[in-house]
Amino acid sequence: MNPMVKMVLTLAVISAGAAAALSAANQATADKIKAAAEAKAARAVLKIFPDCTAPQRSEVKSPTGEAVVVFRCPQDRVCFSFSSAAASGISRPYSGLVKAMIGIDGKGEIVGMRIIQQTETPGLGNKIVEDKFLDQFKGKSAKSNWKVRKDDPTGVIDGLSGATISSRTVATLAGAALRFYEETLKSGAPAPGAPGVNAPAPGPGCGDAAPAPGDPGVNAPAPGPGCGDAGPVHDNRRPVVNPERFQDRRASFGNARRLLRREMDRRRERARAVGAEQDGRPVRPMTATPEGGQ
Amino acid sequence: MSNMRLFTNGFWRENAAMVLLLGMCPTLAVTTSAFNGMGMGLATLVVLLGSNVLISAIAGLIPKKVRIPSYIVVIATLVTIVDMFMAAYAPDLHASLGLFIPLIVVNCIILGRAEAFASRNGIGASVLDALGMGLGFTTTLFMLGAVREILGNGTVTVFEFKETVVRFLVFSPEAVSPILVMILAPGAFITLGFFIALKNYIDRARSA
Repeated sequence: MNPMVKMVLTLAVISAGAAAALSAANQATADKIKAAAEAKAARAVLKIFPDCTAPQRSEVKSPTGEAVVVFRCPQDRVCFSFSSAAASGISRPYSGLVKAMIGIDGKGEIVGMRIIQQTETPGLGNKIVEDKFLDQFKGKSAKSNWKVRKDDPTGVIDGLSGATISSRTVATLAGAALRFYEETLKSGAPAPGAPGVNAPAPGPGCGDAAPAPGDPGVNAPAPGPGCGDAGPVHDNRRPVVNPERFQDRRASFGNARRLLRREMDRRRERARAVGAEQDGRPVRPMTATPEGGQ
Repeated sequence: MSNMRLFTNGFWRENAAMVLLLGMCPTLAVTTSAFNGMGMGLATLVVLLGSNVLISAIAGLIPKKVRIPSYIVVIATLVTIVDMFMAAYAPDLHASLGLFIPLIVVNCIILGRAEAFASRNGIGASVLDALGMGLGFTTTLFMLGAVREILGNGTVTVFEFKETVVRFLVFSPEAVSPILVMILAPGAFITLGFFIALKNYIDRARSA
């Protein structure tokens, strides 16, 4: 056989075999994979509300058109999935998509939260799935200041590592999810499409832009609690700098410059005392003024 | 080569991570904890076993010039099928290892062994080679992950599945500040460098 034909045939046969094997594997597993994802969601609900064994399942659309699976439990409790792409204003995750299952009680406070999907860095960002981190969210509501404490000292969430990208995502995600809950899911909330639904519900203290008196710790114009919508949308690549800390750094730079200048003066002084030569070489003056002229 | 020698060749003499320096991407990226290293190593072992068997079986039929694309197609298919079945039947394991599975396709160890060993040897020898290489890789990754996790986080995670976590606290992060850089990429290079030095030292001491 012509070697060229043989090569093409071999590759074609192998590729066809691979395609057949893959489609067979896909057929065999597609339903199972879907069922496993749903079982995982249901398990997360049970984890948050252990007594809610038969939740009423429904599906709604998030502000950006993502599917939000809602599980309603007795006593006005609601559990729903919310991903980092479900609303605008959620800080971008480090990679992929972060999806959380959030359980809220009748008072609008978080009872429990589980991360059901994430691809953050193993060992760093993926610590957002740990209870130690997620327990901070309990008892918080839409009125909380959903910021990472590193960005805003009055924020309610402690970040995980230095860059806090993943923590910021989860914090802003929880805030957006709670706003979504207040606007569309809460029993008694206006039905979607009714006038006024899209406008953010103003929380207490939302109207006055001036910082609350007697609050000197915050230099940034941090909006009062409940003003999540008005807050700046964080871009992860450019973390928000606490202006106070920036001041410190500038001061320390100035300090270093002063120390350096003093050190240079001292050396010049010493060189003058020793004489014009050191190790047989003339000492070059350190100032720009050409004293020696060499 | 005797069967034992086939196995130890992959496990120690030509250890993929420390001697051949193949598969550096998973070696460096995934070993942020002992369990992650072990999981990646075991997943690689399974795929390596499958690809070595398949390729030693079909190698005679493939023209030399198209062998590499053929091997890659076989390996990628194998990895995807493993990934799908894992997602369907072991979703929790898939959730903790899922990120690493697609990475195995581009792992040079698999293609390297297919090209250098499986295509020239019988199925039995290829299985032994895959076991030696795979277990050597797994052990190295586990130890690499353990050292990095101890220095960078103060813990050793041996097992993590569903709600069961076996984790030992070596020192409390509150008492001694961990070296965060050991969890990050530079820490992987530093640790691997020391591992290679140690292996060379042992080899030299044994031959002297």
